[in-house]
Amino acid sequence: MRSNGWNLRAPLGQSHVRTRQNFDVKAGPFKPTNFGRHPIDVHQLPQLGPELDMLVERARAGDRAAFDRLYACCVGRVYAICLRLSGDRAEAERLTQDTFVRAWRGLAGFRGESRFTSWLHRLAVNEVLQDRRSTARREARVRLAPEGMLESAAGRAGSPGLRIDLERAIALLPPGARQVLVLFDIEGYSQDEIGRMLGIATGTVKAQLHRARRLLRDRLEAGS
Amino acid sequence: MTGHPTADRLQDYLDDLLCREERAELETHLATCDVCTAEIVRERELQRALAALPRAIEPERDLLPGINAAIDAAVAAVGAAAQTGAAPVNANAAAGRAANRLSVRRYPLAAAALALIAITAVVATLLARPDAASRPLADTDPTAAPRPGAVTDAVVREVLATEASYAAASDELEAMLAAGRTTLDPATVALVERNLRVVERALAEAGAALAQDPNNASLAELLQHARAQKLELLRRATRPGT
Repeated sequence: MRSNGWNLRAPLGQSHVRTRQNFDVKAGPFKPTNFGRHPIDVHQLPQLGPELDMLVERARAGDRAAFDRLYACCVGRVYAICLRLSGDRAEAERLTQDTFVRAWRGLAGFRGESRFTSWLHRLAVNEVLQDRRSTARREARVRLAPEGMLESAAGRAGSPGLRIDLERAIALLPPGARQVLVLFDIEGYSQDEIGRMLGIATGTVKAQLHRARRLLRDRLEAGS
Repeated sequence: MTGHPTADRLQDYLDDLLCREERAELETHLATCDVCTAEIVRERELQRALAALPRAIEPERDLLPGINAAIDAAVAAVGAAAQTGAAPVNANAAAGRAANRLSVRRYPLAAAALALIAITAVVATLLARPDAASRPLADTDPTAAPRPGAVTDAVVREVLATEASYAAASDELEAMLAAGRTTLDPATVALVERNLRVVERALAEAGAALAQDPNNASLAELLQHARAQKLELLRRATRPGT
């Protein structure tokens, strides 16, 4: 297999990426995995489940202690969404706070037709996307050096250099391309959903996504 | 397939966006093309790396105090309004004034929703008070005389008063909706009216629960549903073009 110059497979354990050597058309090459669509159940919180449902019900009834517990369970996911979409740690903290305040206010409108976590994550996405007033500042900061984000995103994950490189490369993407890539490849929203969120055509989503991936690869390969 | 597929085509393949025929054609090409196969491998590695990024990142500081402060401030603001100009007994009048400031002819649903939201917000705020959630309410039957020396449960009385105000506001809403029926989208009118019925039922049940359920759980639950309906109504009513 041709070397990439940056071995992304190394920390991911046993690779099941097919190479030319084991490629077999008849056996069904490269079975689509829906990677990028829903690479994992992004809404899963393994340690929760029934407890989460109970907390949601209690919080809906006005139980602030239950809401505090919901915060503790969900803040990591919400903060990650805000951080990667905004590219700025301070703004991500503010957006995370705003998301939970909005969640408290909106809990009465949450009918349980979707998972609470799906609803909450969507609130976070909307909070970032609607945060128009800081867009210019955010873009300027990202163009300069998103070190604040990188330390937070990579350092706390206990990850090696690979993830730091990848987080840095994501943060350095143009805002539009970054948002599409984060929403599709990391958060698992469909291209149609992203188009509706951003108010752009699905074709534009796809173009931004492809551009983002190309830029990511170029940056990672150039830095290796 | 003549020549190499485009980069977009390969991306669509990776994202499983090709139809069966397109996928089969591309896979036939991949079976004999080292260049495109290597490209696919590299793209897939990138996607796997992205998928392997941590889904959760803990913030470096506890954000909960700021969140709670913001919630407390919002609750206090509504509570203060309930204690002053928008006290439950006066809530209907206050909401009516606010609604009247809107052009009923131009924004009948928005005005209706505003009248409704003012009252339900007061109900919700009263219920959100810690004492309302924890105190038994069995002795707060509004038909029973207060026990000598006992502190009247003002919270419950306010809630009931607000519920009565709600009924008056509901009548007003119906009148406004009826007046705008000929100019409004029938589907929207039907939806709003249906939601209003739900809110009415929920609040009526909440009143009954107040008298019978000392733990207040049924009331809280019913009111939450009422609030949900209110939000839906507001969303519909304020939609551009309504």
